[in-house]
Amino acid sequence: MSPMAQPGPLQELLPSDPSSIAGYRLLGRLGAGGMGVVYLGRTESGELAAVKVTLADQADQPDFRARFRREVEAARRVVSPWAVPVTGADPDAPEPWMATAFVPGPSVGEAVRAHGPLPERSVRILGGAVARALAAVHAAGLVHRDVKPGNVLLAVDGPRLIDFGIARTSGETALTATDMVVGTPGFLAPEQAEARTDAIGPPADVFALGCLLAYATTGRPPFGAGAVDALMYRTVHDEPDLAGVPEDLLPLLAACLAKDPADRPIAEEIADRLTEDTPGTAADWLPAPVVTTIAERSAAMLTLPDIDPTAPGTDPDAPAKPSRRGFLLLGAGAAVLAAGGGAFALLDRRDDTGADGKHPAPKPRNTWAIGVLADLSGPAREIGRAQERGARLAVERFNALHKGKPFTLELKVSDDRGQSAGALAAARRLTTDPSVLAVLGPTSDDTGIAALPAFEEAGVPLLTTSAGYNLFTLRGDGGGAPNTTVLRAIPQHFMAGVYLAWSATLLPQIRRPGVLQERTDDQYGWQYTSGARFGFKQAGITPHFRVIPGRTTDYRRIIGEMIDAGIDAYIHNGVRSTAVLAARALKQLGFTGPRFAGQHVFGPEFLKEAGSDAEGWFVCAPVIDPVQRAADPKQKPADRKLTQELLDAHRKRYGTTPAFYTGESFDVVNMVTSWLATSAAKGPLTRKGLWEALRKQKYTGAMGGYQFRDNGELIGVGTFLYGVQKGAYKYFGPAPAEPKKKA
Amino acid sequence: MRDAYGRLLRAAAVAAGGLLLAGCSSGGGGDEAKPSRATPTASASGAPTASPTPAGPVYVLDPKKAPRTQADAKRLALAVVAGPDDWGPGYVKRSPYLSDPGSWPVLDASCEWEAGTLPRSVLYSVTAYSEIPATGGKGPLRVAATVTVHRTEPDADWEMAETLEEALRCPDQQLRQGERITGLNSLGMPYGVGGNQTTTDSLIERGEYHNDAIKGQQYYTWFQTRVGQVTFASVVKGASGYAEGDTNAVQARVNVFMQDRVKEQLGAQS
Repeated sequence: MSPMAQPGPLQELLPSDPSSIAGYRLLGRLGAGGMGVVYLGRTESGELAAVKVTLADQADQPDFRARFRREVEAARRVVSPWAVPVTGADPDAPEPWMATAFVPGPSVGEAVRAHGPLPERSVRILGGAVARALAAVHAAGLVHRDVKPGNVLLAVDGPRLIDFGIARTSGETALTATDMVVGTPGFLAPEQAEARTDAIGPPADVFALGCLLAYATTGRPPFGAGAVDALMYRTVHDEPDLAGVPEDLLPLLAACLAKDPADRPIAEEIADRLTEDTPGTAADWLPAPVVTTIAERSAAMLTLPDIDPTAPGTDPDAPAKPSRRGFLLLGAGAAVLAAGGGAFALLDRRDDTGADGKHPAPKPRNTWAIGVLADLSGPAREIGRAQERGARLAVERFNALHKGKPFTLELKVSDDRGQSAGALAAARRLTTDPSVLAVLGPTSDDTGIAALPAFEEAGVPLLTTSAGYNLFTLRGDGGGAPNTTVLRAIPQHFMAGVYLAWSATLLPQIRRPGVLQERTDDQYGWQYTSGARFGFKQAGITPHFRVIPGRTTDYRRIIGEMIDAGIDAYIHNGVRSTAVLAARALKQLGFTGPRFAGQHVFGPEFLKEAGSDAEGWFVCAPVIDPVQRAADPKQKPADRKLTQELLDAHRKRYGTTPAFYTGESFDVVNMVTSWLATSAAKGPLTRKGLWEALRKQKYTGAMGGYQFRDNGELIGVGTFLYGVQKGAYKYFGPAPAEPKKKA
Repeated sequence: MRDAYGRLLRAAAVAAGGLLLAGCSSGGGGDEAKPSRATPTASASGAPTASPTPAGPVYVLDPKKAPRTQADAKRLALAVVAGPDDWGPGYVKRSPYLSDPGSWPVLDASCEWEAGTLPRSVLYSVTAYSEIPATGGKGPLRVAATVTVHRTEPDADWEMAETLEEALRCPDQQLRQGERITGLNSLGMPYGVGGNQTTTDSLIERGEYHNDAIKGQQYYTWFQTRVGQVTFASVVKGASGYAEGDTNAVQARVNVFMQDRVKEQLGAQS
């Protein structure tokens, strides 16, 4: 059943076909092959799904079911807006099946065949999104192995990668007598073509992506077509035919098509190089004829039986208004197209309804999940990816230690892209999944504000290592409900501002610090500034304050005024980009006093962007560098051992030392998993009461200890002072817990 | 020692949080005596501001309706500024009712408000004073509304920033002889944060109000909003017999009235 392709022209069910499979009512056939059949199905809640059923005789091949199960589990960990989610599966059925959200768009192959090559901008967006999806696949420990035009579908809001590495067996795409080659000729990497099985890894997908993009932009596969043997020979030995590829894309495609896997870029890098923008609507990123095809197919779906115009859930953000829902469905098919995330949510929610008689009671779980809600592709992606890695290492550590007893843990990752819009939906992908017990996140304040209701509704604890917005924890004093959802492993911004001020008081010469609040992120700036005001007051210091509009660029004038007012230190309560401007102005104006900044400025980007202007700055951050901690003789040997364990695991898994925020995320997830492991013996695991139980933990991890107040706020300073020296952050130690008073 | 600091800090943090919550649910206010705002020195015609502070798809203003002359600005300000009818039953005009044209109080280096001159970046500014006179055991409840029309949107943006700066620089301010505010806190709520879903930018200030002629301590609330090149504010000086929560609600309503009028005047399309 090589064409897992959705949907193609929909064919009627054959008399021999079942009318339903598990909870799916079957509406028609999307494709069929030697392995089985792909059906279009509909859930009781009205969502469309592609249901792939494997024939019993195929399923009885040795190891098939075990591999199927493993791959489905892995695929469930892949959460990307650009990958079609697996919404259900049963590897133990006589005919094992797996369901994915249904996307009615044409594949890249269909679109190019029908309408010719895609314009450059479409190809860039296509490439960026598929690269992102592949990054998620690779992060889940999978290799797709069959990236090709038929496996990328075009939807209004962007492309979708399907069929990632699941139940793909030798029989499905066997091309050689030895049944070792898996994939599609013309889109195979040399190592695949030569069936060097042990050499096939993520770079093979990158090669295939290069072929896919070359095809999309020229209409020709870069190694031609025709006889399979010749095609494979050319793949291994010849240079790709990239004539007609736009100049801007040429170096990237050539790099993807390098013969040596080690020479190819990784998927994340490709995504970064192609991300200039993301699609808003189909008209925004696809040529008109392709949009028309999508619209026609969507419209065809509307004529299928059992459309319930009031079915909720296709858009988690939308109010459940029947009239509007009906309008959407009958209008442009937009709701059907939006089914990706919503169907996932509904299907999983259905698992919780075992008691209503319609569904069997849920089996006792032996697999649970920790979620990650992070910015993996937006402005804070460096931090978000570091957090994901920390969480993944913690989950893998748990599974290695416990070997499935009493349960196995999965990591489910949802990318909020650092945007408020869509963050709630990204959160609900996790909170509506009943296997998810707790979530690490969010990366940023704004996405957290948007996403919080999902966690409150579902009672899922949310543990953050980077979001300092005060009201995540400081609630209830104004008459509302107190926080019972968020645990914050860092200080809130106000406290961070206090500790920043107290760090400054360590320098005895400071009498009149200049505190600048710039309003690009006004919550952050205001809270840091209030905290600094409080902190300096405790030290008997009256700062000189300035407040300026966000994105002001004339820092030379503003800082000149502050210097004229007699400041002897500078404190920047604003975002990184303006700190860079301030650093330049301070240097140009010959200011010699100390300069300070907080969390938003901390990170490698500031060093890169400010260059030598950053030299000598002090930056307070809520995180520690594990490398410096492991080498710190002031730490107890036992504590350093934990840190070293993290360093070793990270190097083994990712080949590098951990970025900032990885260690704290590792710790927080370890705190959750260790509590789960001990309490699993006492009864079934549940979200209920979990926040309170975690809040009472006194946990010591690789980066230090964590304890929480009644409101979920971190106890302790949790702020660390760094100085920029020779273009790097030198760790000075924790910020002082009290001000150094002036004599 | 550490614990004492901890308590102090928590109290401060909670106070800050509470202030924000107050801002979400109601308005802030202002008072007559600190009627207009300081000179937006920084605005000094077009400090290069890449774009105004808050980003938000709030509404689009009709450029054809943007006031360009003092006469345009005066007409708009007088059409918008809230009077006794907006404040509600029992409110009457004070005398004088409107501020003098060209008046522009400035917060000086010693944190006292004094008369200043209208900056070039301001086309027109007016304050309307209202009150509920003292009656049956209740003190006089004095309120005011101010509308300021700037030449450009960045100028108005700078005024918002400087209002925030004033409370940091001078948490204690002398409004006039015998009248002071103390312990002033301020916070901004650009579009999309703190419950602000309707305007480009807003801020609130809250402090204690002291009047030598009135026994005891009252509250002081100032609520200021920006739509395009126009800022408007409402202020309440608490009086015995009135609850802060109640006057906050009135202030919020007055602010919405002015907001709607400004948007209409500027041809806002959402």
